[in-house]
Amino acid sequence: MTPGLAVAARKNTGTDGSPWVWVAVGIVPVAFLAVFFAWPVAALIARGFTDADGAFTGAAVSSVLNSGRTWRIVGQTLAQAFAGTAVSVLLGVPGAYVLYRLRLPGRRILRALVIVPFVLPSVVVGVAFASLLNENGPLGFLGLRESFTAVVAALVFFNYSVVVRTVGGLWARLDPRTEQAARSLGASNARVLATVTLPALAPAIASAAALVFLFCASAFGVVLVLGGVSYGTVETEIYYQTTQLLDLPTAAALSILQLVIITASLLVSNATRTRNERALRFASKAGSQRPRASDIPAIAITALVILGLLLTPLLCLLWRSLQTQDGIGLGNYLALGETTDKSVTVSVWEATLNSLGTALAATVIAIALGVAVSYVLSRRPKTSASKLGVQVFDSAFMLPLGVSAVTVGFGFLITLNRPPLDLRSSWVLIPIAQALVALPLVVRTLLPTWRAIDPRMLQAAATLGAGPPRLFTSIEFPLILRGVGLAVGFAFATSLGEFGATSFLSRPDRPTLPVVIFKLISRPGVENLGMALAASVVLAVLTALVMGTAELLGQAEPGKAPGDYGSPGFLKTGVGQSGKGAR
Amino acid sequence: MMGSGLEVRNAVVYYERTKLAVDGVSLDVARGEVVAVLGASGSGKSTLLRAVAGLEPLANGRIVFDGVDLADVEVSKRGFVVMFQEGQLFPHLSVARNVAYGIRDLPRAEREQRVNELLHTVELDGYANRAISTLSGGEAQRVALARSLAPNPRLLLLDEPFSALDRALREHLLQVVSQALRLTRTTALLVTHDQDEAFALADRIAVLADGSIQQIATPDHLWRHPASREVAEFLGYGPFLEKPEAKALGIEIADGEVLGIGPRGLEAVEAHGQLLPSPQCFGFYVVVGETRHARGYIDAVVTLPHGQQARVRTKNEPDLRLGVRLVPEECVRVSAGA
Repeated sequence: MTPGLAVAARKNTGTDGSPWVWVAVGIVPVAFLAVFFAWPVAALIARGFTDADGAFTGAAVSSVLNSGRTWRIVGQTLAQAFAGTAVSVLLGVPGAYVLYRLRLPGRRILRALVIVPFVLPSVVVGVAFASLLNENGPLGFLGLRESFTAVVAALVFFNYSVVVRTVGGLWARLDPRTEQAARSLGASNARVLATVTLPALAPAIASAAALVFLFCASAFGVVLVLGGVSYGTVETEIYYQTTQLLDLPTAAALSILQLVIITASLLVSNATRTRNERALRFASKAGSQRPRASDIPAIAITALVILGLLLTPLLCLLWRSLQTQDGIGLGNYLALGETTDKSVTVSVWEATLNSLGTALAATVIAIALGVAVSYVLSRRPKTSASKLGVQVFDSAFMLPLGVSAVTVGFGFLITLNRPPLDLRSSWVLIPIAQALVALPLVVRTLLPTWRAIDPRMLQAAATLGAGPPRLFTSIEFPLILRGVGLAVGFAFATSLGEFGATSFLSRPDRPTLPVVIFKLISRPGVENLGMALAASVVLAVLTALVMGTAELLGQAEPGKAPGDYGSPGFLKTGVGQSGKGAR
Repeated sequence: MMGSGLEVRNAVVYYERTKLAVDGVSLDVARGEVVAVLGASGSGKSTLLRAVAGLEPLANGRIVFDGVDLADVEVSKRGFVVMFQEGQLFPHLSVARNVAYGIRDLPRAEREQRVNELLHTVELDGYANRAISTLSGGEAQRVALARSLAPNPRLLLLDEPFSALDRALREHLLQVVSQALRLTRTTALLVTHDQDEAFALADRIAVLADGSIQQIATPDHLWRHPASREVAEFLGYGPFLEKPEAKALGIEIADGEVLGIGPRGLEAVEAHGQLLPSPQCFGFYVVVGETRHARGYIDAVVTLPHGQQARVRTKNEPDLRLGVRLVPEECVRVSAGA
């Protein structure tokens, strides 16, 4: 007899509940994704292929594809993304070694410090680098303002932590005895590194590189602030065409082009993620070693990166925010209560309140959807049909990570502004867009923790009489709670600093803080710049506070569940899951 | 005993939907009885246990308890509790709340009393408020046992409960469990690859190989009369002697039978370089190979006259040649098989 048929005919067994439960739980996030992601993006693509009368035309797309400007911008996007990725990896691998493998004083603080840039709002980073590189900034003599180098430096600033955390997370858990065995067989340090360590780390490095490329290629705020007109990318060009030239067909055509670039890098990223899932030998305890003389180059590079690349722009931002026309003081901060310019109709403090309210709403949406999505993704389907279903579901919710925020914002603008769903005048559009951007982060933070729960623990609970609802409330939810804390932090921080989509959707009377900062910095005048700097410090401090609290809450939670809570899943490799969770 | 307890009838289970793991197993566990399923790893024993619990779907056959077919009864409604090898305690709950997990419907006072009773049974008085992370492996396993017994399961399913523990601890825990099972008159199905575990706990033992049951018998009967050469081999008999070989060494067996030598089936019989006379069978000389020191004796690998390798215990380091005899009551006659 054929096993599949006979078994499928029987009632579903185990602890996962029936597939109908999965469908019921998954339907809300799917509907959300369809209405607020698939529809706007599809409408955007359609807009690129239709003329003013609604007839099909390839004119906009072909004119965009035949324009020299387009290819210059595409070339620039790719060049900046490649350079940003290469430098991030070259600096990040020694950083991972120093921060995760060497026993150095204060390395916990340094690890926490390194993650801060990743969650900083892109506008803040742009302003910080600009304040460093402007003519009158400390590094103004280098003449790097609005340069390729400036953009790449800022991209590395953001993504250094992605490489350090991804590679370091794996490096810390590699069994040091494998290297010791190689050394005892007569291999030199360099040969051990080349033949044992780097091959073991290769999957993590590849997966980090793919992810960094994705982030670099879709970077928006930082490029808009730092690159100026001459170093734009596809993302900033879409923004420029929409908001300055009001050329929607061209913008739509460019969005299609950006979709192609992002989808390609997402596919590469996924491929490396799959290759990652192979068994590696892990130590039960983190292997760390005392620094040796041969570690000095790696330590020096890392110290230079942390001091020079990560701390200098932030300290410069802080320092320059304190400089006023009357000397050093809090003048810029005091001015945040006023509305100095006609174009900014609200004070920075009001915008801060707007931002907090919007981020709160976005966090609620993202967490609710993220828990539902993770619930479905953590099931262990048995039939090949439901396995495929879960895989498709998984990829669908990773898409917003890849599709640029600008595309989402632009898509909202052209779909949700008329019946059946006219949300143009409603402020909920912004939290919805922000939740969409934060959702992949939330899912990737929750999922590893959830998947690390031994299925047999749930089976033991089921045999003690617990059905799926009680399993969720009494076992699964308490065990993922720490992950939820961190996910809340990521969702809130991301929403607080979100600029790409928000810049399209924000209304003049209710701007968010990043939008106000961008408006201030785009305007001439020393006061405006001073206020932009002060407002950036406020936003950076808020973001750091949110992340710090989330990390602390995560650590204070009683009980101990398997898994590492230090970073969202995509900042680690998939290796841990297949290596440990399988038993 | 009809209609009372567990009846497994012709159970067929596929592992991961494609590999045949359990191939037509029928097995009864009467009320209050402890049955062990003994098999090597990969014999399908854990899959069988999971199918009884409702964690794996049956491809064919029936699982019945007290006359009720369980095909449509969910895991959580069967009243069967599984105790896993690693305990699978809930790390976010205290010891007491772990034990109370399956009895939340009891009134509070009664529940607390039951928890304390059970912690006493598993010799963990005073552990109620301890965190799971502070327990040793043996303590965790005893908490898991208490948790499994708390709801008075109509069937307790034990999946290699002590394999992960070291030997001394395992022997002590076997006593604790054995006592707890008798005391609570719990009906239990145990699967294990460990002969000692099965013999220590079970009223009856089912030997499983390649997904089907080779023999079901009481421990004593199983040891004395293994049904086949494979079963005897799995229990630790060997080497096996053909009829003429056995006869040459002093034991008569029937046609189509082989003689399995038990772990103590070969005895050193030599003093001052002379074979001692024996009432039942002859002494003979064997060639001594490797020897190894064990606690209180020396374990020697010897080559029998017909070439088979066997083990024998001696008091002193043997010479190249050693006089031995077969001990008939420590050997079994089994059918030669295919």
